Amino acid sequence: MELRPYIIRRLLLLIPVLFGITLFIFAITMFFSPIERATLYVSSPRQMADLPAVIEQYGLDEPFFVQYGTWIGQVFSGNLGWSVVVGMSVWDAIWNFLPATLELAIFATPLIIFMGIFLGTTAAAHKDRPVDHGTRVMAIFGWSLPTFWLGLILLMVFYGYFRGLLPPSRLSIQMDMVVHSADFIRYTRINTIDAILNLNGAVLLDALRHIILPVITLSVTNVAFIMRLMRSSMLESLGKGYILTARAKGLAERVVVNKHARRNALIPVITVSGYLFAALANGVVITETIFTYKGIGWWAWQAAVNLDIASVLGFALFNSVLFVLVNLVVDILYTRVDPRVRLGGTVQ
Amino acid sequence: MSDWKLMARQLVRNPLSLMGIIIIVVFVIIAIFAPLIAPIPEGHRDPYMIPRDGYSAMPRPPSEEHIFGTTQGQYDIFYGVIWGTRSAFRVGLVVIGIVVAIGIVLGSLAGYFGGVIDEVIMRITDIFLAFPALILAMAIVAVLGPSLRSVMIALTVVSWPSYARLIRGDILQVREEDYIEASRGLGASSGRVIIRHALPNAIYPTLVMASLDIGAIVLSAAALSFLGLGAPEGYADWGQLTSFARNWVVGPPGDSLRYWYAVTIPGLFILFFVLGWNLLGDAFRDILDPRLARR
Amino acid sequence: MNRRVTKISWIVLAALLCLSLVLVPGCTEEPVVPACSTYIGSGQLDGEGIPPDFFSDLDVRKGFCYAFDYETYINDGLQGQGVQRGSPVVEGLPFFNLDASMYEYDLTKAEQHLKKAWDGELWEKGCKFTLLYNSGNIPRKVACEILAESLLGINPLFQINIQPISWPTFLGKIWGTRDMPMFQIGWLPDYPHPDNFIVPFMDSTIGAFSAFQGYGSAALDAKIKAAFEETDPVKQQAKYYELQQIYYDDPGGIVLAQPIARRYFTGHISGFYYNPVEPAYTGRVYDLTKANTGGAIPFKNPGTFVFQTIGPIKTLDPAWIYDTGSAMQVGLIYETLLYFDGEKTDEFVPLLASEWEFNPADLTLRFKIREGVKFHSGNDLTPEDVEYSMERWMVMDRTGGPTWMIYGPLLGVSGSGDVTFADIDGAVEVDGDSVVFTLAGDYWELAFLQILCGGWASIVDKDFCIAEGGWDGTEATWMDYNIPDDVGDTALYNKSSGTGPWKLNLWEPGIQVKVERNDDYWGGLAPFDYVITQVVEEWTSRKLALLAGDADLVYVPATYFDEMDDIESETNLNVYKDLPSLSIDAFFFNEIVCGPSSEE
Repeated sequence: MELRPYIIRRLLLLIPVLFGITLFIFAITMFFSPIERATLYVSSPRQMADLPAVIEQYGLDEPFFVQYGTWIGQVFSGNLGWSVVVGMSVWDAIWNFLPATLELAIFATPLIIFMGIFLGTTAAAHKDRPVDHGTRVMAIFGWSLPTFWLGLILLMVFYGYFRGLLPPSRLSIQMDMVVHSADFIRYTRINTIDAILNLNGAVLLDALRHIILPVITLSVTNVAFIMRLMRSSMLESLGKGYILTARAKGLAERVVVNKHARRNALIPVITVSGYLFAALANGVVITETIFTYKGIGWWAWQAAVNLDIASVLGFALFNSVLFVLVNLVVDILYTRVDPRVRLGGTVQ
Repeated sequence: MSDWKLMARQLVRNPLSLMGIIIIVVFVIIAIFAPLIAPIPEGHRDPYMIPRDGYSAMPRPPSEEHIFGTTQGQYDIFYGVIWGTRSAFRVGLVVIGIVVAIGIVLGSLAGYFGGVIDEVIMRITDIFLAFPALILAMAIVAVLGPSLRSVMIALTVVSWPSYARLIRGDILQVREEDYIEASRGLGASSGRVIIRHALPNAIYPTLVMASLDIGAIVLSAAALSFLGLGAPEGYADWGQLTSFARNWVVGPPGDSLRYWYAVTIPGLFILFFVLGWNLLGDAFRDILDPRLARR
Repeated sequence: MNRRVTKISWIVLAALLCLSLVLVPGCTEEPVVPACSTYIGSGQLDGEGIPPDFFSDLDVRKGFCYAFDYETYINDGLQGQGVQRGSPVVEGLPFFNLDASMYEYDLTKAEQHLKKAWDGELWEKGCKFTLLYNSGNIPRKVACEILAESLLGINPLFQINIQPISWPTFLGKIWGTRDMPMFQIGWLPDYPHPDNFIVPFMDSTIGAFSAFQGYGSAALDAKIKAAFEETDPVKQQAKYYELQQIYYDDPGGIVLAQPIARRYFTGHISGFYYNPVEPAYTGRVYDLTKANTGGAIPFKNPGTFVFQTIGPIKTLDPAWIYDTGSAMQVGLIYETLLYFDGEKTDEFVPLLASEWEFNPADLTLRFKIREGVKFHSGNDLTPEDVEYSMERWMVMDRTGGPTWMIYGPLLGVSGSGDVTFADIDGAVEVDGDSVVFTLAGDYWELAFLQILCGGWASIVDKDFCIAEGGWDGTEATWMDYNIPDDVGDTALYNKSSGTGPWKLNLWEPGIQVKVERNDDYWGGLAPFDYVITQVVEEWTSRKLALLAGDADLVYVPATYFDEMDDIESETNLNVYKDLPSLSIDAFFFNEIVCGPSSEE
């Protein structure tokens, strides 16, 4: 199958998915009475008497499909609605909070993948020996750790016991003032990258100091996932015929492992990287909350807890688009790495 | 039956799975004998609500009366973690049980019949999978009101798609095998073919995933409780207990680890419970995987 | 190999399914009973529930009031940080009666009343219902538990369940479905006048609580109105004392406690004084000073005041604000005509108005506008700006906003729907160097002055606002700016030009707001170059920031006062205790569960 029509076909499939998700969420919110949804807009008992007016203004008692239709209409005209929990439009909220999450992802993802690949390969190459057991236990241990608990413990030790060594939030107050000053240009609003682009070592160091704990919290739990996968697919490919041949030819074990087995073992890892995206999306909610690292995950949680429907829907749209795109890229990569697989064929 | 003994021996010989089994057995014993280990106080109506010794917010350290100390609100930590074992088992097993059942039904239908049914079911799973599980679960719990039951419903809704997909995938693989053709040729109905032939072979990766997932389910439930969207305050639930600890992570200056017991102990229980299941599931996988067994 | 797998698989699967079937029934709750509300059991006085009008019986209410252990509630629920009150009028309000009658925890009297209730049927049959509180709120949970235990102790047939629900659902049940037999909620003042407290608790038609409880009567409404409209201070005090007594004789709820607040500053900050009606948690930042006093807490960020709190700051538009977070920022950037004098709530000092005078003959309130004041944009402050600000406030009238507070005193109505533009225009007029308001009645003088101190009455820069796309002040366009859809639709949402000691520097919604010093401030330079307000939800982070000197003041929930007591002795904090906050929590009785029977 040609690449371009395949991509187009996959992107077209995005549409029913988006409709499905938003419809589902809308349906859930219909469980709430108009009054409950109106409470989002008022904050004091005095204003409660105005609830009927709020309901009317925002059309909260219209039938389900009318409300959904109105929302769809707004989306098509570029208006994703207003995020009450953070006081800006949903579009602005996504734009504003994305850099923080991206920063976490940029640091966590390579760490997870490389650690996972390294540990998995090592474990597979020394199967059933102490190294194998050791790395497996380590990784499984990491995967069993509750993310929120790990975060709390890390804070307890590195922020409390060591008196502010590795603090939460993105930057210290002094560095925050530097970042917002006129001399500092925020190209990406990802503090580490901006610091490099601005050649500002102090900000870079400060940003790194703040990002260590959240990244560790995110990574520990996901490394096991990748490690285990890598290990089993390595074992599988090590058992294959061509490996036997390579060994028979007298190639060094290291070459066998690195050059032949690993390349094929990477295939499922690539697939799984797509799922890693989903795992990270889950992990950031708690991590961002505990470390006051305000990104998309934190925003989504605030929205869910406060019944800020517009935000939840906006987040759903954004996340789904991203997810489908990531899967698309992964599938294409898959074909590049494994020549046996054709686009649009029976991929597992 | 000698297959059982073979598998059992393999499990026992592997130190990791042995550790996992021991851990799980310990927890099972704790759960069964909870009323003996942490007796319900006189006149206490709901055994799952942790008894409290006053209302003060500051946790008190372990003492004779409270073996593990008390957490915010003077809830006895020991009682909480012991009875929390029961809550954990309940959530994990119920959710997995229902999710596997749904997955089998929908996955088989999709895998075996293919065509429109397959497409529809796959699109529905796409929709659920395209959304971060935790957020969706949070939204569902927010709708239904925070309680352990809402958590179970939310986690069920969020987890079934992976199972449906898994079973579908395996059924697809198995579908083309010769013996399926053979039994169809002999006149067996589709239902019979699915149940007697396709499913059993598709089931074992499901079991592996299920045993691993019990740990993940309990983790997610704890996370939801931690975020305030799970069991109500004072309920014997590990995640609930940890959420109290959130505010006592750092003690007064000079004694920052003063409230370590409130933070560490509930978390350790979650950790070891999930660890046990993960170790077991990991070993399970190694044993049941015929490709690896050949070596 | 296949057979082994098959057998194992089936057995494990069967085990799983059996287990889940066994456990699932244990998870379901009781079936829903066919009464109008799930929280009143059977809906009858048969021992399995309560009728919807259960609390209309005075003896029931009095019995409950006597059965509540106020001391334990304050000690355990509020950590001792509260004072019991007998009526909605609390300390700090004018006409507060310190000797007002209050209920005590008296089980004998409780028993007496409960035995009389419903002609003895209640005592015989017992009752069963559910108390709900918003999850996460410990004091309210404690109150529910105290009441339930008490009643159970009096008569074992009084069975009460307790259940937490989420905040939006809770609010929806109070003002929407009204299906909770009792509910706890608090009242915060809009302006410090007893009327602002009595109406929500006692007025049967417009009371934010009482109207939804089925409490009160037309006769009582008339008394409330009469008390407000009384101009003779002696008579007015008598009337308000009477109203406070009425709430004791005919309780609409168990009046809980007036919370006592504290403020925890680092030792380097001084100058704080407490005014209960001041919306900013910080007090008037303009009057604070920061100097290195040594001690364990490091001295950081000289010239900057950092405040960490919870809750987002919604907008910077004065005509929109109704929450304390936004009010604080507006208070830094803008100014009002006058303000409360120090700690007082009924005496004022001039601010943008240099003097004012009330003429009872024609009900006009005349403010002379100060000269020589400039806005941040460089424009001069003129009486036209004052007129524009007030009219703009009336024009905007956003849903659920503060505009009713200017409509009441000036036009005697509650919103823009009841008036024409001519009314708005005529209510505020410029007269030379002054601005003249025409009040709806002479009894409004004190209340209106108090209202004018609020952030919503801030004076905005007319030319700046028009240049930024705001209303141009004419009749032709006023409907376009009436009732905006979203908070972001107003011109002054995130842009500002005020007369205050600081001006807006940075606003990251949900994260922080930073204001910088206005070097041209008419009242003398502010003590800080920057004031930063950060939103930090985690208590631990806030605490550590305070102790590390990264924050100068943080929001400390009452739950952690005990913990802070420990810490206080080991480090240099400046703590202000025993500050009576102008609010009151009550455990309301719903006399018409599910709403009045004739309506809906």
